[in-house]
Amino acid sequence: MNPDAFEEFEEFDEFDRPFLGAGAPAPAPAHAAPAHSTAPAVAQGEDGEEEREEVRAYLLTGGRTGGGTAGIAMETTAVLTPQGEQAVASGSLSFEPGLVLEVCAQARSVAEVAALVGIPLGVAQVLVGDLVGRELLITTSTAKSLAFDVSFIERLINGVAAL
Amino acid sequence: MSLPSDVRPSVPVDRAAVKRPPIPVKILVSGGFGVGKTTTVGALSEIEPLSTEAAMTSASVGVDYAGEGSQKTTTTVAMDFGRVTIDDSIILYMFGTPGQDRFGFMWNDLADGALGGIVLVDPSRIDDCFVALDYFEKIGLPFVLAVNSFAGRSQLTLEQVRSAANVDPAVPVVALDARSREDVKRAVLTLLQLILSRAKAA
Repeated sequence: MNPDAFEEFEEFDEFDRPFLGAGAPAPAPAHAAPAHSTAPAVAQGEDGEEEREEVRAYLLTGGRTGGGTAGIAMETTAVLTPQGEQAVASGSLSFEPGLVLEVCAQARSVAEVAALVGIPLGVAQVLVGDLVGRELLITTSTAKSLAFDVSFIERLINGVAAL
Repeated sequence: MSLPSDVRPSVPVDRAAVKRPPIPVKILVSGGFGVGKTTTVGALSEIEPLSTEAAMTSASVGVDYAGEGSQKTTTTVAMDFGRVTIDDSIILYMFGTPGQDRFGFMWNDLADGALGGIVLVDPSRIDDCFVALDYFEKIGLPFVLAVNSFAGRSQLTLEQVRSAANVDPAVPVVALDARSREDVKRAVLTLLQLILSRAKAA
């Protein structure tokens, strides 16, 4: 077996199981992690970065996957509720849930949250679902019936035409 | 899992004095390897396209053939997407979706809730888009066939591409340069018009 083929296999293996792999190199978080007073384990700086790499995705989600029950899709948008704003201001949430809240200071899709925080999409779905459950985030999802909503599509066409 | 209403408030209505985020609208951009999906998404996006993209290595040589003369050394193995704010209450997301068979397991998640798709075609490798065409046809997602003309390198007319791809006569076929914001905008508008006529007919 040639070594190239093996490399290829490894790559797909990692991709097929994003929750179990050590994770593709996460895109650099869009903003440096702000102070997390309650997060001694994830220290600031390079050491902290390395430590975070070792946190398996299933630990972040308690082994859960997907946004299923909460209906959290990759395009679902999320934004802070007033309680969420308070939680960010007081820094009461640390680690990934805290980072998710911070990027949701403006409305974002779950896919954006995943990319900006540097976590797999499935993890972002679970964490956003949790934060919705705690009323720190509020979300909007689409439904198939929008495709048959003439006035909505017209609004969309006018919006794109005006770009 | 999905409720019948168009837009599902995530908290009970009595507490919904809270302002809800904009309605997301999802459009897929699909096609074969190296056909310009990422470029197309980036041409219209207001943000630098975000991704969970992993660079492909030399391991993919011979697996993913980017065609004669292509300098492409990386490809999208997950997905990348751009964002276009339409107004206060609508955000359009364009998701570039890997067009190869072996990523088929992702497609249901990608297609779920999508309004429509743009299937990119490289006229010198038309068959590369067949997987995407088959999928969109199978799930009944409206799409346009967009011929990435690669700055005039193509010798084929749109009608020749249409007949080679064997798509339904109702499917619009447009030419675009994936780098051109105006071209991509026109392709999106063509798709939306198709969706609109379908909505009116329903």
